[in-house]
Order: sequence, then structure tokens, then C-alpha cells
Amino acid sequence: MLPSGTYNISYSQDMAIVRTRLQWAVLVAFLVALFALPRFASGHVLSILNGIGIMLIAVHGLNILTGYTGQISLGQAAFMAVGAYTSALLTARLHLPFWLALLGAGVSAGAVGLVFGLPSVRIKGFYLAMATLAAQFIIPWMFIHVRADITGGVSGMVVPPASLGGIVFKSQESMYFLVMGVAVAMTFFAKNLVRTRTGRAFVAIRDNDIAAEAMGINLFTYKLLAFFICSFYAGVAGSLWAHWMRAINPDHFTLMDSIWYVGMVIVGGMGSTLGAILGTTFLRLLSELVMTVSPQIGRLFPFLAANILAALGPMLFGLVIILFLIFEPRGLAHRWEVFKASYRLHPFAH
Amino acid sequence: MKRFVSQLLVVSVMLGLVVAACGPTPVPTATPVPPTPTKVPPTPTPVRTIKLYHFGDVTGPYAPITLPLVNAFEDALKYINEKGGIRGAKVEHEWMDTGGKLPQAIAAYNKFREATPKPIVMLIYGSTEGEALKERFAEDKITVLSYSVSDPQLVPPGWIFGALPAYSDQFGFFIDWLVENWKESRPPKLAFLTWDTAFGKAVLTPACLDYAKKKGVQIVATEFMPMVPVDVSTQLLRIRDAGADWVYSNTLGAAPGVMLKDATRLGLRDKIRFAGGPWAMDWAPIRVAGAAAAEGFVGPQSYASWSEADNPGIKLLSEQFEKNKRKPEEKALAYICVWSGVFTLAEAIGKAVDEVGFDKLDGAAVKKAMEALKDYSPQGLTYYTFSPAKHSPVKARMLQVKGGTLVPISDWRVIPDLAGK
Amino acid sequence: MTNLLQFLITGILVGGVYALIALGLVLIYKSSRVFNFAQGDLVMLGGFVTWTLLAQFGLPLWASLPVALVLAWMVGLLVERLALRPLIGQPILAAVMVTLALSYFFKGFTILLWSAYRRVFPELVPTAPVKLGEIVLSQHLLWTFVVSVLAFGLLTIFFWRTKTGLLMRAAAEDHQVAQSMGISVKGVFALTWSIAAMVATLGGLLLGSINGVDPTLGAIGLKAFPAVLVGGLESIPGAMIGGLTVGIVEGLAAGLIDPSLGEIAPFLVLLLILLFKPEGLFGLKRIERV
Repeated sequence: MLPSGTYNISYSQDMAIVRTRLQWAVLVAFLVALFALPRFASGHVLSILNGIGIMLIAVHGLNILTGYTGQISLGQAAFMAVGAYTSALLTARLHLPFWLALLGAGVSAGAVGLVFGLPSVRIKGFYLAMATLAAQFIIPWMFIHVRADITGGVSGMVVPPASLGGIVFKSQESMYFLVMGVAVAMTFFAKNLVRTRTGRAFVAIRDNDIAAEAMGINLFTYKLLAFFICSFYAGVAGSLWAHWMRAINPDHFTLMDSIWYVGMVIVGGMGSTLGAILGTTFLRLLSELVMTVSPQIGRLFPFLAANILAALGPMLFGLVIILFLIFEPRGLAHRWEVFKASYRLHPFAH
Repeated sequence: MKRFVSQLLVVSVMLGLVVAACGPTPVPTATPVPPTPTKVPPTPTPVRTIKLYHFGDVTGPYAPITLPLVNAFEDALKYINEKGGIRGAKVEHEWMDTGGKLPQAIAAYNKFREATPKPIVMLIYGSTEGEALKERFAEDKITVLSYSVSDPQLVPPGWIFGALPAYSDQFGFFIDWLVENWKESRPPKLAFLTWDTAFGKAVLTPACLDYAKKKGVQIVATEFMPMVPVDVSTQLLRIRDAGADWVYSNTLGAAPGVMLKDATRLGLRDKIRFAGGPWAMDWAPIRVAGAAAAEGFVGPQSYASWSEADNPGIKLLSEQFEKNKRKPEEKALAYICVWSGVFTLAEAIGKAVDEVGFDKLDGAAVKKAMEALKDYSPQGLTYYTFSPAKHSPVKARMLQVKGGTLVPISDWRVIPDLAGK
Repeated sequence: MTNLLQFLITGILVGGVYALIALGLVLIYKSSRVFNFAQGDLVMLGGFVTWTLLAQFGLPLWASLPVALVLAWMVGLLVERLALRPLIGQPILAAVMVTLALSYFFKGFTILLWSAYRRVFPELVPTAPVKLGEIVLSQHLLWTFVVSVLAFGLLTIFFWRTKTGLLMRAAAEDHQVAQSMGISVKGVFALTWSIAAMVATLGGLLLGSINGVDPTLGAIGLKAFPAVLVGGLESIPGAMIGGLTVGIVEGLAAGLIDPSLGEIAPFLVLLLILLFKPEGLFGLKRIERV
């Protein structure tokens, strides 16, 4: 649905993401606002946004694998762990520059992702989800038990702060620029990847893999490619995570995190770059909200016992998500599209 | 229409979330002052408040241990305020649940960091967040009391203080006690049955193992069990086959109880004796194992036990426990820990106020006061000695399960210093 | 040799518990293709409910078990009606996500009603061990295993010998065909959730009677994940065999090779099995045509 008065005259127009002057203005305004924010926001807000930015990168990767290619992975946090440890080892032990570590984290996580993506050639659906679940158990186990002298075993590693060309990213504010810079670049790449031949092949596999194969798409190559890209994103996110926390251990990358990354893709809307952004933001802010709600209620009703207050957090979290999915099972991005269409058609119904 | 409503709903929820999550901490509304109909006191002096901030996993995997902490804080602060607060200042607490998620802990810290009044002290109860935030505490100059005393938090000393002696130190104490009480001529053989986590492995550091070796204790097996085990007989049989005389388990909650129960069932209790780390010296393992199976379980502990009716601190706590109508399940280690911690912080803050005055009171002043504490004992509940070089207490006792409760079987003594070595 | 036997039998007995949880997962997946992440939390909730009946109300086991099962049946109906039925016809993953949200809700609900302390059951089974030669077994685990097998037997009879069972099998085969034959697929979903909740409550009772219940019990659901996959997501006997396999592999790997290997060994076996039988040992092999 195009805005009224906008027509497709050439192929390049049809393919363009940004069509109208207003859209350009909004995009530029958003980017300016995004990078001007640290001047106005508190450290608390920035730390939330940094968390969102890092998760967003991981969710973008998962969205390419799950949303576009249709392969469910419950191992995203484990692939993040690979990235985080690679980056930590490269900077702390080998003293390599940060940008190289960031790249190395992506590549090494991608390579591990390839290995655990191999079963995808044969298995589908929840069976595949469970095969990747094995990654979620095996990878942290290896960080604990294999060469614990390098990885620090259960107590993990201390990671030096990221530095680029003399700038050391130590505060939430400086980290914000790094995280958002990478997140914007990765979003741009994700948005455009799905518009290429590769992206269309992914969608074909998702919609019907047998038909896709009949059309000449090599399932083996493309499924593994999707796994590589997904884990590459996770690796980059893991590297940023390590330099943001400045201390990592295997407890940072749990199965629950992996499951929630899938949750963010679903809540945002599968197969939509915007959906990944909306879903990550929505769930992260929601958990932030429920975390603050119990102490506030405790202040209003001081006679309530701790267990009642503490219980409100998880209950509210679950309830909001259930209600949200009942109202909008196709995700936030779908709702946004519906909203846009009805705005453009106003005052007509169709 | 329906579509519009649901759209409105989604948009408003999103907006609400943004506002709620990013908005400033609401300033606590002043407690309504009962109207005084007759005389108004001339120029009421503003009541100062000192706020203790604490955050941690209250609803996640550690909930059984940490949730009781919150009620205990409530009771302890009420008592301190009834007694006139800290040098006349009212003490309050504000807490946040992280559900065991690290990003949430980071966000909670950043929220409290900017709260009013500016935080000078915080309390935490998870090692993962303690280790991740150690540097930030130092940068922001906030004194922190931590209930999880893993080595990386304490060594090298930063701004985190341990509320109990480091796990490794307490293990060293156990080794001392074991060697002193060892009657046979051959060296004692020790096995570990613990968790495959940072907490469980805190007693497997090279310093701990070397210390055991130096004291002539042979380590014969290292076994691991799941966080919530169903049955550990497999691990116990391997330990039996390794010929162990003693088993040490740095775990908490149900796990030590399952271990004791299974060992009793397998008939190992007359051949092998069992010991647990400080958090295993609690009442939950006794309940899980049953008083009979738990009998004889020993371990180091730096707090008084509920069984010591003539300890002044326990006397006070028992009174307060009744007064606040807490449930019998809460009569556990956590309650004693929190009271000791709050008393100690109140003492340190009080000393800091004496030193620099209320207006200049900050984290650094409290840190200095904490580091000056020598054998400070909150009503006999525990003994706290800190110094710039060592940020965890140094005194503990051995406790033993007798008749379904914990009783001390040694005197308070200074324990070995193994943390971080 | 005795050790090997002891590891093996302990593994089998513990596997019985996993099998019971896996059974709940399989039932729901089979009928509605929804993977229920809240199964472990249903076990926990069931454990707390039976604890309340047994310990707080002091009811005997024969009275509290039926009451607990009826409550579980109602919980199952409510969950299906309020949370999952509105999502019929929507993407499956949205329904899966709802079960994940449910698991948070249940955890909060449990903490609200029962706080987080570990509750220990009154003694239902004598603690004295059973000795088979040198092998020492816990009576609790033995009973747990017997009850699991009985539950499996009853459900198998239910599915193969009753009309309702037939309807449920038909609905699991193909929703549209079943619907056109006059079977209420929604009704079948509701029934499935009720049965799954009842099975979970039984699991909660059994697990709780071994070591008590607290909110961390929900994590036991994770153990069932490899079990269902090994057996096949759609097979009820597969859940039993998968559960036992996981128990045995865990016990043997921890007992014979490396104690820390126990946690991941089931996943290694799972990967191996999926490599050769992508639909699990007894899963439904679907032939796909374009």
C-alpha cells in the first residue's frame, strides 16, 4: 500500500525502501534523534538502550534465520557466547585491536553456527529447534570444561573496554554510540539482505522448501548460509556484550535468553526487520517495567508481604504478553502495517 | 471499530512502556502527617533519610533463598528506625527484582545510581552481577555489601564487602577443623560433591586445593550434581568407591538435603561424613533431608544459630520475628544474615557521619568506616573485621545439625586467608 | 558390576519421572502442534497444590489426589479456553510464545500463593530403602516409576479403547478431516490440555514427595526436552522410551565417564539420533509432496 499520489514508474522506484520526502525526513530525524539522545538521557535510560541495541543485533540475526528462512533456533545465546569469548580472548589474551575482535567474534560464531546448522539439512520445525537446543547446552559446557585455563571456567573472564582509534568506550554514553552505530549498520544490512537474491531464496525455503528446491535453490547452501548469517549477528552482539559488561561468564548466556530472542522475533512479527526492532524494544521495556512495578506497589501498600510484591513482576509480564498475542498474534510489525494502510486509505474502508 | 480499539490499545501500551521504563524514579510520596490540631512545633527540623538500595534475583532460580531477604529487610529497618534511626536519620530501603537476568541487574544498578537520595551503600545477593558491576561500583564510589562472596568480587579489594567470610576461606577453616579432629594415623580423604557453577566451584580454586594438600588432606574425588537434583546416588557411589572419609558440598537450598537423604539411604553415613559450605548450614536442607538424615551434617558458618537462645542477637531476632508475625519457614539463615548486614551498615554509616557529618556523607566515607571495623559484633550475631586489604569477615565457627537444628561445635576463630590466592 | 547395575537402575527410575513430564509435552504437541514451554511450571503448580492438600489441609493421599487432579483438570480447561483458543488458526509460534508467557505467569502465581520456600511433603512412602542384593533403591523413586508406568498404561488404554480416545487420535491426525467428520477439534484441544495438566500434577506429586517443591521445580521441564525429541514429538510410547533413555544416558555418563558430563550427555545422544532418524525414534514420518 503506497501513500496516495505515489506511483511506481520504474523498477528502481518499486524497489526503493524510502519513497517520499516525508519518509526521508522521518528517517533522518530518527537517526539524528538516536545519536543526539545521550545529551538528554540519563545513564539508566542509556543502559536500557544499550541492552536493547545489543539484543537487537542478535534478534536481527535470528529473524533472518527464523523469520525469513523458517528455521527455528534455540541456540542464539550460545552463539552469542562464542562471539563474546572470542572477542574477550582476542583482546584480553592476544591484545588485538577491538575492531578485529568484533569481526573475529562474528566469524567464529558464524563457523560454530554452521556446525550446529548442519542438522537443518535433514530436520525441520521443533526437531531442529531441539537440535540447536543441544548447542545451548554443549557450548557453555565446553567453555567451562575445555581449556578452563584460558576461558576461566565457571568464573569467566575479565574483558578490557572496547577502544577504536584512541577512543575508549567505558561509560554508558560512549558505549551507546558504539552499540547504536553497529546496530544501525547491522539493521541496514539485514533490511537489504532480504531484498537480494539470497533473501528471496530464504523466503522461498521458508514458504515451501521442496518447491524452492525444484526452482533451483540449493537447500544445503542456503540453509547453512542462513545459519552462518544468524550466528554472525549473534557473534557481533556477543562481542559488544562482552565489552559492555567487561566481565563474562557462561551464566550470561542461558537457555532462557535464547528462548526470549525467539520470543522477540515472534512478538515483533516474523520476517520483518521493523518487527525485530519493535519486538526487542517492547519485551525489554516490558521486563523493565515489571521490574519496577513491585517495589512501587510495595511503597503504596506497605503491609503486603514480599512474596506478593515479587510475584507481581512475573505475573504481569506473562499476562501482558498473553493479552498482546491474543490481540495481535502476527506481531507488532503486522499491526503497524495495518495501521499504516488504514491511515493511507482514510476515510475509505478499502 | 474493534480494529481501532485494538490499535489504540497496542499504541498506548507501547507508549506507556516507554514512559514507565524511562521515566525518573518517582519521588516517594511523603507519609501523611496526622493532623496536629493544637500546637505546631516551631520549625520542624527536616528528617534526613538514608536509603539502602538492594537488587537481585528474587523470582528467578535463587528465589527460595533470596525472597525471604526482602521481608527481613523490612523488619530490620523498622527496628532501627524505632530505635532512632542512624544518628537521627530515618533509614529506608528500595529494592528491585532482576529475575536472575543480568541486563536487568545492570539497568537496576543504573537506575539506583541516579536515584535521589544519591546512593552511598547498596546490597546485592548474586555473584554474577557483583562480578559484572565491581568496576562500576568503584567508579561511582558506592560501598556495597554482598551476600555472595565469590573470590573475584573480593580480591583485589574494590568497593564490595562480603557479608560473610569468602567461601574459600571458610573451606580452609573446615580443613583446619577436619585435621584437628582427625584421630586415625592415615591422612583423611576428602571428596567434593558440588555444583558445576561459579558458586559450587568456589572451593575448587588452586589455593583451596593446595591448602588441603599442605594440611595432609587427600582429595580423592570431585563430583557434580544438578542445581535441583532428583537423585544423587550415582555420584555418592563413585565417592564411596574412591574411598572418601569426608564429603564437602558448597551448595544450598535442597541440594545438600538430597545428598544427605540419598547417602543415608545408601547406608554411607557411618563410613563417610558430610560437610557443607556456609549456605548449606541453613534450615532448608534439614527440612528436605528430614531431621534424622541430616543429623551430624557439619560446616563452617559465620552467623549465630536460631538454637542459641541466650545469644542477645538471637533473643532480639526471635522477639522481632514474633512481633512481625513471620512464617515459621522464614526462621532460617537469611533472616539472621540481613539483620547482621543492616546493623553493620548502620554502624559504619553512623561512624562515617560522626567523621564527616551528614552533608559530606558519601560512599567513600562509609567505605573508610567499614574498613575500620574491628571485631564489630551486631549483638553477637556475627563478627565483622574488615581492612583495606581484606574485604570479607575473618571469623567463623563450625556448626552441626543436632536434633533438627544447627548448634555450634567450635568457638569463634580467625580462619585461613585463601581468597583469590 | 554392581555399580554399573546401580547406575543403570537409578537411571531408569529417574527416567520414569522425565517420561511423565515428556508425556504432557507430547500430548499437547500431538493434538495441537504447540510445544508447551509451561509444562515444567504445571508440574510445579501441581506439586504445590498437592502439598497444600496433603500438608496444610491434612487430607489423606486417597482424598487429596483426586481433588488435585480435578483442580488440574480445571486449570487445563481454563488455560486452553482463555489463552490458547483465541490463537487457533493463527501462527503456531504465537501459541508457543503464549505457553512461554504462561510459564512466567504460573511462576508468579505460585510465588504469590505459596511464597518461595521449599515445602516438604508429609511421608507418603516409607524412607527405608529397597535392597536387591547389593543394589540399593529409594522406595520413593520406585513408586514414582510404578505410578509413571501405570499412568502410561491408563492413557494408552484410554486412547486405544475408548471413543473419546479415538476422537482425540483422529483430531491429532488431521484437524480439517476430523472437523468435517463432526469431531469438535476445540473440544479435543481442551481435553488435551486438561489431561496434560493432570499428568503434570501427578508428576508434581511424585517429584514433590521425593525432595519437596519450590518454584525452581519448573526447571525440571528442561530435562523432558531431549526426552521428547529422542522418542519423537508425536509418540506416547516414545515419550516413555525417550524419558528412560535420557535417564539412563545421564546416569551412565555421570557414573562411568565424567560426573560433569551427565547434564549434556542426553543432548549428545539426541544429536546422534536426529542424525539418523530426523523424526526421533517413534515420531511420525510425514511424506511431503509439492
